[in-house]
Amino acid sequence: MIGQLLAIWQADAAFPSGGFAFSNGMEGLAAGGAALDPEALRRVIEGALRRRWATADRPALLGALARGHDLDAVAEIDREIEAATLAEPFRSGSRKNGAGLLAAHARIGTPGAREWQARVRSGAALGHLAATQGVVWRGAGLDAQGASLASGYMAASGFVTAAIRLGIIGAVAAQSVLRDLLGVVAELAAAPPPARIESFSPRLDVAAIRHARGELRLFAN
Amino acid sequence: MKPALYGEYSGAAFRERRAELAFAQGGGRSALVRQVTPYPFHVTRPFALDAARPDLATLYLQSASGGIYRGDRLELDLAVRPGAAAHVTSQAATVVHHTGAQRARQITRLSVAEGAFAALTLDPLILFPGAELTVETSVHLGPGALAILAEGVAAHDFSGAGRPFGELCAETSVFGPDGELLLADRSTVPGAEFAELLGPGMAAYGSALLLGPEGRLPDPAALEAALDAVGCLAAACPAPNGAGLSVRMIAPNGGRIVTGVETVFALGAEAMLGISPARRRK
Repeated sequence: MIGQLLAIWQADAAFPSGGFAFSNGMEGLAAGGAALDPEALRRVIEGALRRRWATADRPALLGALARGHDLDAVAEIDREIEAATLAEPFRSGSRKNGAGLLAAHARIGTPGAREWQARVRSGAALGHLAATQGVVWRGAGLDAQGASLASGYMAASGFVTAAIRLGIIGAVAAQSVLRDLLGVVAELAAAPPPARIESFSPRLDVAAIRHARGELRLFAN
Repeated sequence: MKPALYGEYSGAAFRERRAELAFAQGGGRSALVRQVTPYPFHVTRPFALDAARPDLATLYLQSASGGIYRGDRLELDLAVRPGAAAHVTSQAATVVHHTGAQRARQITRLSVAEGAFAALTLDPLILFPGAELTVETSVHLGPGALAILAEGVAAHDFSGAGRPFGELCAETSVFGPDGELLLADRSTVPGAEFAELLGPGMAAYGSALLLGPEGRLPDPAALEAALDAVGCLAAACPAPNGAGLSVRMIAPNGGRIVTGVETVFALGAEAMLGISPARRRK
């Protein structure tokens, strides 16, 4: 039972992971004039879950979780995330979000957090979000299933929350979209992860990159 | 061949072929010093199309068959030796036919030696219904090497029924002078999800890498504006590990990607070689 509670604890927006600062392309999409009714919004998020979260974030997280005791191995995964993330706003966003999560866990004394933070601060590691989640969630006691579900829920709810704050959808209607996406997260989390980190989200890539040069932004990406 | 037969034709399937091309600097030009081009590969002779850079060789790569078929494994090794400059481009788009249970593979290995310039700019792959294709591209850069890679894919159902291609699995890896991995652009996309991931009204996708130091690259905003002007919704940003620039393009059809690829080459060559390249006629 504690495994499920730990996953809920980490996925809870009350945990100061800093995830609220990232729209992961949603703001760029809205700024580009995309017509996003609730169904279109759901499809965009489902696409990102299927072709980015499940294929890039999740295998990186599970790899880091399994090797969390060996920070050299995690640093290798961390470098692979960097090389495989072509869209610069997602790359820098992942590092910043990782730093936020790491700072919180270092402060509460999660095993492994301070050691990983020292590596990141020294420049020996980049501290991407998925790699950092692997280290600190292992230290906090999450198992692979809990970590997958927490990460998937945070990805889905992060998009939905960004859409609410951007005025794309109302707070109540958004919950219907999120409810539909829970089935997608559950399906993807139950499937074996791909052997390599890969992603295909051209629409969000283009939106985020173009928007990154804008002067008025609510989110970091 | 009649369009009605496109889906069934498999007369040229299961080919395993490896082509090799190498350019070397000598006598003020870049000479094609090695050429192994088994069927279905075919190349023209090298052309010197740019008066301001007569050492830049341009070679058209053609397919002597009607495209890529089930079980095909087509490999190309392209080497540009120290100080040489070469542009290899395709003559036209390449159709990928229904591959049945045997996906096709296209493997390209590009080696750009010290101080060399290489451009590999390809017209889009046209993925027919049921086409399953793996595209693997690796680039090895020597010290001070410059490179432009640009390519694309478009989905097309000749019957007009909107049937999707099977799956596209792609990987482009770029390695630096010490063999270190600089970037790995990897993706797998089932045909049924392709259009949704591009966005409303879009059916083609292109990507480009401009590899080199910051001072030899075009301005990302100017590149985006030029691509917008030719009908590609595009974005350019710094690639990982200081490798150069990464470009994504989305368009309603493959024709726009063709123009987008030409635009990337023109702006890339201007920044890297200091010339405004002549149009590569096809």
